[in-house]
Amino acid sequence: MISYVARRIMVMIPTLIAISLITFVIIQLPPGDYLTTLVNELQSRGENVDQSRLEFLRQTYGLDRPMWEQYLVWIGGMLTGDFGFSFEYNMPVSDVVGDRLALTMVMSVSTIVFIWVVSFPIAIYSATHQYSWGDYGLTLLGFLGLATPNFLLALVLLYLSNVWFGMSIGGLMDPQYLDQPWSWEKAGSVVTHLIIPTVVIGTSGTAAMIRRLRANLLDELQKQYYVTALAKGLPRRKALWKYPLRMSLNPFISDIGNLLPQIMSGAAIVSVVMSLPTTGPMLLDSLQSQDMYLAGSFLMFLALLTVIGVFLSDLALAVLDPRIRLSGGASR
Amino acid sequence: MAQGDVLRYGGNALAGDFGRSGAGLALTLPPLLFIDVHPVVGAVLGAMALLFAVFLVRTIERRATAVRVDDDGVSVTGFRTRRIRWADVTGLDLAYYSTRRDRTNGWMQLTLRGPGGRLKVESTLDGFDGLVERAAAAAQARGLVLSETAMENLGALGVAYRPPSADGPPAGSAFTA
Repeated sequence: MISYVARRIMVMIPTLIAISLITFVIIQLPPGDYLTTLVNELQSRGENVDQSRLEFLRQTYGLDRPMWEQYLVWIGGMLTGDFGFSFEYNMPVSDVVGDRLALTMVMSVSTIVFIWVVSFPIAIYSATHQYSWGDYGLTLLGFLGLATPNFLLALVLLYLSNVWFGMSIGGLMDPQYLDQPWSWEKAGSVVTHLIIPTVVIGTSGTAAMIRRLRANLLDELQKQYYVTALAKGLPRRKALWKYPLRMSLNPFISDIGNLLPQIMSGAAIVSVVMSLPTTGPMLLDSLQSQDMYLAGSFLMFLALLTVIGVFLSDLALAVLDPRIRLSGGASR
Repeated sequence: MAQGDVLRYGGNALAGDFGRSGAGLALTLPPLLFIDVHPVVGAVLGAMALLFAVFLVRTIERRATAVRVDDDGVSVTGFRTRRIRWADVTGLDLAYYSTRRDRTNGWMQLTLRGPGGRLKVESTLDGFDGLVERAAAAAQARGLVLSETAMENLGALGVAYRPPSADGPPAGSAFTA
């Protein structure tokens, strides 16, 4: 296993370096920089711009340096915990992100738990009761979940929760807790406000997961070992839990790698619609205003999540199912 | 594979592993030594450097390793010597690992268990196929129940293994109701 982990990490490190390089080049691609955007904005409002001050800012933030030098300063800073300076917020990136990152993580984790808790029993029921009314009904629900855009579902649920249940809508907590220190009441408010975003963001993921687990479980239920186990008198429930279910869990595990960044980035539009103080809307703003260090840090964070997620799922698969696929091939 | 053969790890594979461990240490140690890294980053880099150091030691061990296969059993000599007699084999596992998404260009790992402990060899060992065949024959003779994964991987190597449960469930088999 050491051999596998070492080789796998040796794939991860160059991948992260390549991603950081590409990310930096992409955020530098639009003509000009943050200060150019700022000047254009000020001029469009008819305000005067002091060129000497602009030059001073350009030198202070290192925007006049060659791109490779800016890249090395940025990447070196990340290792020391310095993610750069946000021009738009006029403070260090780590201070800007602050609570938003924690709230985003809480929302992401609750969404993943929602996806698994909902899709797991539904998929098992659908597979073990194939072509029943229940299977058809749940399949229809699944397709509806897949087909409904998240932002539309967000708008509908916001309306319904406000009109029917009188719930406070928008944001991740009641307004009175916004600048308050953390307390049990504030945490309770966050939990209440998490319900709708979690359902909205998790719906499409749940539908996709149900379809995949159902298909895999159906494949396993038709294999000889399961039929033999039943024929030898093993109770159906025990046979199901012990063998086919374990084998069909592979997509759950391999999906960890894709789930994390999908939820983080996919939540951006929903967060805009629902005014959630997560990282998504901030990423959009920073990309629009060319706030390069803030945008770059977000993109690197997403890339890191993807790489770590894929690594963890590969590791889990290597431990749980180290089988050769006959379509692939072993070599020395 | 002739009986009494001495098998060693291939030079190219070892060179690759030396390269990987060296590159891994070169990428993880300098930031730790020369930059005042953030504690979390430091912990991650430190863990990775430790892993690559262990990997390097293991590769050096493999360079010194010789696997001797004879009629009586298999022995591995290197930093320490282990021997398992064919008649004493209590477990066999064959795993396949690949770092690619399409699972190509991977390698196999054979694990043999016996009274003296555990013995692991990888498919980069010259004559690995013959050793697997011999080990599978010993496991077959002992009537061992192998995992589905091991049987599938044996099949991929062209080694036939007939599960002892063909005439009924063995004692302690998972298929026993």
